[in-house]
Amino acid sequence: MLADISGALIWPEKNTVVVSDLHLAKGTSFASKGIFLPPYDSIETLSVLHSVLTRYAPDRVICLGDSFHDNEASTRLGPEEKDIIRQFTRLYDWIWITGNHDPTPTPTLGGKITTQTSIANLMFRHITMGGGSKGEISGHFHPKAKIKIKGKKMSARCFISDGTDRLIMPAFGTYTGGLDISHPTIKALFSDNYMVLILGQRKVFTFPKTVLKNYER
Amino acid sequence: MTTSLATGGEPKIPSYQGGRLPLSTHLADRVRTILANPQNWSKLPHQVRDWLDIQSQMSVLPKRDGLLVETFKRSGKAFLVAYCFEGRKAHQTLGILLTKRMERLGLGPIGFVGTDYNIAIWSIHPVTDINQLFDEDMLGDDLEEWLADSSLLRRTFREVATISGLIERNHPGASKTGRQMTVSSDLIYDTLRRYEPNHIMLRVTRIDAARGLTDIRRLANMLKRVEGKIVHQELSRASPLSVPILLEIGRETVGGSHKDMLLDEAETSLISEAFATEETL
Repeated sequence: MLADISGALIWPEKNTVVVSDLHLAKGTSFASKGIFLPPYDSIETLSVLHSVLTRYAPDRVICLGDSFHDNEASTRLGPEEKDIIRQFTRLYDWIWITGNHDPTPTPTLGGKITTQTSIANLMFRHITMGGGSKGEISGHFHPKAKIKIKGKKMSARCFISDGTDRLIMPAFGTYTGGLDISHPTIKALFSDNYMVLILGQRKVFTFPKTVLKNYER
Repeated sequence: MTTSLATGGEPKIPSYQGGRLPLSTHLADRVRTILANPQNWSKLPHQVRDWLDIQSQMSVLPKRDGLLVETFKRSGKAFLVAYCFEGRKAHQTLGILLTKRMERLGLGPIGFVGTDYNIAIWSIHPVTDINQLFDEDMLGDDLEEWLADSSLLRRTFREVATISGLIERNHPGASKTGRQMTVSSDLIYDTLRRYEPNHIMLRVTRIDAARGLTDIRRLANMLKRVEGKIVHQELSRASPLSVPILLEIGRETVGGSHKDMLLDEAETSLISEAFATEETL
């Protein structure tokens, strides 16, 4: 498997691309509260996704939940955005996994909706089950690595994986924040040996946990 | 006052904002004249005389004409301090231009700070050719494009977004309201820049930010004046004259490749570490 710099996970053997936490229509969700954000986040997220899909030309695409910021998100998407999504779901074998933000996404955009799916020996779901689950790929936490190298603080999205049992993916969406991987909630999910794949500007950087802790802040 | 031993590696140094005095061209000229000639020092307090004395031993004093540039390594980063005496605004602009050029040279500039007297830039790799760096043709560089990615503009945008009511200022300890924005102003800034570069909030941001920068002419005069008269001092440590600017607040971070470079370095040091352990086994 390959961690792409966009935050997508590529599985060449199965011609599959996995993305997580697109949070489409997040920008417009604040309008009801009187906050009018520029509504370009959805189209931005979709165009990044489009370039990933063009680059890897997969057969299958899995969205690991929270693809839509809420159940009504699809009503707020513009016609252009809906067209892109419909084109995606026509072109690829598309799987929407449901998340806590989108427990019942609209079926009108195409694609298969399910709570989880397994392919070969891997299980794809939105939130990790923790504990004894094996070969599980999930999202939900929007992991970010907050580190400090030579006094320079930085924060970047990242993948975390222990290599066999669990992999947590970064959020793919444009207006998405993140949870520091040193947060107890994330730490509790991993034993001592895990890898963190940090998404840089031009490259993905791989750090074992033992090294990364020297740079934690 | 109570003091206690700190446990962290890098010491935290308190900084003082009271040292900012506006510097006109004429005053700058007189300051340079006084500094350059030790005979003028008799009127100065003895602490200042000592300070300048140590400076002339460890490095050199800025000349009346020309430009003193010092480079040294400090906490793993390469520092460059230039004593231009052109005032804060000119130094801010110069900082943007110099870091842009350093970015192109692959030196990985991280940030800079300007005072009324000098400018300090820190980067991953040291500058080797000072004359090339300060060449006057830098003024033809696209200031705007580089500025767009700078912390100066991002910070200004946050202020604009707060005033417009788009985001609310969070006060520590205050209870959260439903209106509170959970999207950072940086994300909005990036999105607007891409899809509506002429949005009124971006226009206001650019105007506000430009207020902190000077017209190019004063810089052009300086660069012309110092051409061929740059004194480059490679030092093993920070010089006495450079200490105040190292403590200065209001540092600007530049966008660019330095984050990848630092990560790369950390990753590579990890590989060499791993190899070293293997060899000893």
